[in-house]
Amino acid sequence: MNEAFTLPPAFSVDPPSLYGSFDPETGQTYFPPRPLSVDGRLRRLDVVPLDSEGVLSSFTAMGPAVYGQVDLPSKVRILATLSPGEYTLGDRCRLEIVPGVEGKPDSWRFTHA
Amino acid sequence: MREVFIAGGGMVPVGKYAEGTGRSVAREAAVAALEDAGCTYADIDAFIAGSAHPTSPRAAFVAKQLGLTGIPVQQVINASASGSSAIHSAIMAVESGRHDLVLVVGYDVPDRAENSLAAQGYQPPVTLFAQWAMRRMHDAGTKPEHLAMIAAKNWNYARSNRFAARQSDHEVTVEEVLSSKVVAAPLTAMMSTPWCLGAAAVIVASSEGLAKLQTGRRTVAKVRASEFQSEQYEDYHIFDGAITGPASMTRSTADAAYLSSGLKPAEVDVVQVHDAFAIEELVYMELLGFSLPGETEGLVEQGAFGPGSRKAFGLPEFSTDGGLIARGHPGGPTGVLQVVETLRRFRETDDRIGLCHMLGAGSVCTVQIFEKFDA
Repeated sequence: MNEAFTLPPAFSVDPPSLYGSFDPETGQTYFPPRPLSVDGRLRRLDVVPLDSEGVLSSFTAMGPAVYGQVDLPSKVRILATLSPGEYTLGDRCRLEIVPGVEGKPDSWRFTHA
Repeated sequence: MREVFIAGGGMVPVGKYAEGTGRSVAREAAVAALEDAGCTYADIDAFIAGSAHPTSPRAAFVAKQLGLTGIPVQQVINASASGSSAIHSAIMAVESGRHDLVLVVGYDVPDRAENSLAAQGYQPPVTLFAQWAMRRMHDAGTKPEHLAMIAAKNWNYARSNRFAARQSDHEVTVEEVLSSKVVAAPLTAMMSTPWCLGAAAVIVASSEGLAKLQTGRRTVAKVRASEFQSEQYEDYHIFDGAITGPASMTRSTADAAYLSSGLKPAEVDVVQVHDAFAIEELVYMELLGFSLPGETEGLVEQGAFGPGSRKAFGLPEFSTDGGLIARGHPGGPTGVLQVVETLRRFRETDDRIGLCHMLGAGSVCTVQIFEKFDA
């Protein structure tokens, strides 16, 4: 398949990692991965693994689910499901792989670091 | 470029409609707008639809309900900003001299029950705005009571809007809003827009178009600005989901509208915003230039941005038809409903300058400014 038409994976289980795109010209990193630079100049970007820890910028609970925004050192904000628990803004959180069960694929979320 | 006016508007009640009735619902809103403007579909030079849901009827089938006159028919699909984007396109078409009378119909009644807008991205839409609220409570000391004050205001505005989706039979209180079901903390159900459908329409006209209308002297809305932007990258950018862009998008679109209109925030009498969740209205008060961080919550506590705000505080009233929270947010019609409400305010109150602000998930932003005009 032509690589120009496929998006790189957003995460891998082994090693456990989220992936983003890095623009060598600006030093900016983006999530989810995107093929082209954000300035419209059509530079092809590099796929890079992202930091696995960050700071909880905000969160909320909706029923039993907890959702959060985790800011990584590379100035990337991840919208993530959080593992169940109590959170406070500013908490350090880390990536966690959630093994798939009953035929569901593996997924990812953030939890307390 | 030519002057542009909103010559008339119409709508159907915001609420529930059966699958398969979309063409009829849109048709009736269009007829109401045409009658309000004093013309028929035979007078219209172009038809532009705005719809957010993929399975709402195609524009060509809605237009065909009104007549088969050979005019250009097109459809704008731009999430919540579909209707206001369609109006923007119509304004450009009239401004350029291409058309004199353009019918804009915003509608959403999906042929199949689905909400693809809510299914996109990593998190449900309401949780994104709940996180806005959580962050603001942390940074600025905002309390759930402030959000409830805004929601109660909008619920109570909707009590006098017979087309509103939510019409309380009593004065809604802050306590009532706070005690409604928590959807995503700190947002409660009464602070959040309900799922609803509907249609609304306006006639966009040039001076020559106004002269063709079969009405006597009457009040219309002169377009002072129509600005349309999308996101610009900034650090910690969120790319996917039912997002409404970085805050800077609303601010820069509003700045562009003030610049092109030559007006200042202090001159605006009435404002309609994308207040799908109460935290949004609080944030937009600042981003649209009506208050400064640190003072907004205090102003809300004193009753600013509600009935009588212009005289008491020199600040505009917000969401005067109930806004997205209480009038409802049917999708494609929402931006059109805002303009219909602005026109109503020009005709029934002392308001002379109105501002409409819409966001479309993805994200895009429109800010349109209108001036009362006696044609």
